[in-house]
Amino acid sequence: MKNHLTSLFKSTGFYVFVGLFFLLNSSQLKAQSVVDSLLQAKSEQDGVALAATLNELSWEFKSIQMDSAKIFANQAVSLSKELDNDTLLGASYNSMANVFEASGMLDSALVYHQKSLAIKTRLQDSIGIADSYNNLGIVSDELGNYEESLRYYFDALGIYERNASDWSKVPMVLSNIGIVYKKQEAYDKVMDFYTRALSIYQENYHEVGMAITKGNIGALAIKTGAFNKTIQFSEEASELYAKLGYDRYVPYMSVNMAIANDSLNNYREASRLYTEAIAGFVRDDNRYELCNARISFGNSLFVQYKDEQAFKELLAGLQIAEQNNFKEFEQKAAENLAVMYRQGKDFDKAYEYSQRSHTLYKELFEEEKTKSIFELETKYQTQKKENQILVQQAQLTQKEAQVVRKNIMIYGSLGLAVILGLLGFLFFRQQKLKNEQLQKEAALSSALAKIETQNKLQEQRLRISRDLHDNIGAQLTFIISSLDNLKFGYKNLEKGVTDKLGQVSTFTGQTIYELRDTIWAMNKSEIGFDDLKSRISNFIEKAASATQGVRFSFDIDSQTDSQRVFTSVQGMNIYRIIQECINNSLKYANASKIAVTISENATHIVFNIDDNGNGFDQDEIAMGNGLNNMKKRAIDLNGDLQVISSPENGTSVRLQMPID
Amino acid sequence: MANYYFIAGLLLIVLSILLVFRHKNKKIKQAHSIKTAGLDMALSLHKTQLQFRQKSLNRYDFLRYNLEEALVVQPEIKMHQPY
Repeated sequence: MKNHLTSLFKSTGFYVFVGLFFLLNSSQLKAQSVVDSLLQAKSEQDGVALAATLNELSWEFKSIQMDSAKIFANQAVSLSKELDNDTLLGASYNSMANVFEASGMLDSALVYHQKSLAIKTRLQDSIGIADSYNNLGIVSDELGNYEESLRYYFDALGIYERNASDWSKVPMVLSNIGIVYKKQEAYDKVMDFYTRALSIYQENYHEVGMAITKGNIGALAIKTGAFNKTIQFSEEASELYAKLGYDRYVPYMSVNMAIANDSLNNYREASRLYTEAIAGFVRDDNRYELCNARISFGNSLFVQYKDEQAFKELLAGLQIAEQNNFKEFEQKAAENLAVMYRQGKDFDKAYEYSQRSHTLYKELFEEEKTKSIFELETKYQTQKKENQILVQQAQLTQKEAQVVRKNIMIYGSLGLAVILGLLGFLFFRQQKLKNEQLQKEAALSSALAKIETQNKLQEQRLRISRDLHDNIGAQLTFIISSLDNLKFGYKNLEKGVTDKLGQVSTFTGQTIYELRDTIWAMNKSEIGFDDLKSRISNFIEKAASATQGVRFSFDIDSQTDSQRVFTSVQGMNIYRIIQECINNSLKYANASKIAVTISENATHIVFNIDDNGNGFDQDEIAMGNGLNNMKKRAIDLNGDLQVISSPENGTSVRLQMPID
Repeated sequence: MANYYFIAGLLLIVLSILLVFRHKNKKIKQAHSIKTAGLDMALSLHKTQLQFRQKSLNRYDFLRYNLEEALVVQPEIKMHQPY
């Protein structure tokens, strides 16, 4: 039971010193004089100086009157904006953040600290940035975001360490880091950081810092059970406080040393220290700590079996607690008294105090519970907000991913369209080129096939012509030769037989004649008018040179188209008709004048062959082979042949051939 | 940065496609040139043959009825020869 009471006391004693650091810098008296002087300065200033004073006023009023602190901070922000002074605006945002922090509106504090940090970052104010990091670390610590808090603190520490302009900021951050680790019960780390802070204070011989840090180390050592260390550091801190004139804080050290001695069973020393501390708290009218010290002392005396003194101290502590409504201490005193009365066999009183303790504990528990619920609610809300932020961030990330995907789709589609378009265009152009080439090749192939066929045809014609000439022509010549041999060989043949042989010979000759014409026509595709004219002219010249006493004339009307072209068969037939007519005139008509004329009218080309020979009576003389052949040729020409003759009036042959 | 990579990649693809098609078109044109050259040569040979024969036929004297010259054997005519 005594051990239980001891542990309770130890716990209380430990927390006594936690608030010491803050109390040291917030002396009401000192603050009041500062506030007065600042208010005085405010009424006399304007511009940048006024903004700075407003910030300082906000800082001072933060622990006195929150509304005023907020008004001053707001005024500082407005004035800084009016002055367009970023340095002041950063400081003013810092003031706003401090007000919100003190009001428990930690999210708002975080926002304003971040605004301040943004401005300081823009201004490249490294110390200012480190200050903001430190402040953000404090707020994050209060929000329970220890990891984030440590990150901010370490950022601040890094900057402070690189900028040696104000060494005191380094141990400050080290102490803050120690506080965060303490909440995580990482006492070894806490001790490490406190020791580093103390070392810096000692290097710079900063006695206030040394006193505070040593006090902190002493309090931490109670937590780790290093009671000798508690005694050593607390004693050193006590001496420094006394030296510096901070007598108010000496009793705190005495309480810590008393707890350590009590735990080490040095009850005499513990009693001395408790008595010293109680006297100090009475002197300073520090009722809260006085109450706590009396109850702890009572517990210590009870362990030493000094029941009377123990009752006295506990009842005194209970009275102070009742008077000042320190319910926690009231419950603790009642609980200890119940234990003591039970030990003294006074069960009524033991029951009474036990009931009282139980009731108070329930009240406290409810309060704690409410507080815990509130804290839980706050944590829940914070967590909820964090979750919301996370959800929003996730949504934002998702949207960004969607936008990226969409962009990829758009750009990808565009790229694909460009590639497909290009491929289409190139394929089209290639196909067009192939088509053009194929057309050209087809035209060439067609021309080649045509010329090849033409060549083949011509070759075939030549082959047939050669066969006709070499075989049939030779055979016909042989027949004529044989017939002539017969005629000369058999001279006593009857006249009829001789005539018949002559006719067969003539007919065969005619056949050779026509065969040659056919061969010629077969190999000649066409004959021009000029060519025909020159051939007729040649023939007339030859006829003229072969005969005597006959005058030939060959005239072509100027209206005749000299560009006219006849087929080879037409040309041959025209030529043969003219040739036959001239031959007949020379052979039978005994003419002295033979005229050949070619003329043309709208529908026909007309060939006239006239002679002034004997003429003949068309009714009496039957048409021979020659005339019949001419008629036949005229029909082949799709033309008309007229023979006009009468005895002694010559003969006129008129061939009319239609113009195509 | 990603945009630059995208544009560079696209340009690379486009350039590659253009080069491939340029190479293919060049090959097609070469093949076509060889083919048309062969056809032109065959045509030219046939034309020469026709002209040669026509010239011989035109020289034939109509009045002499002598086809010997025109019907001269022409061994250089090669029918059915692939080009």
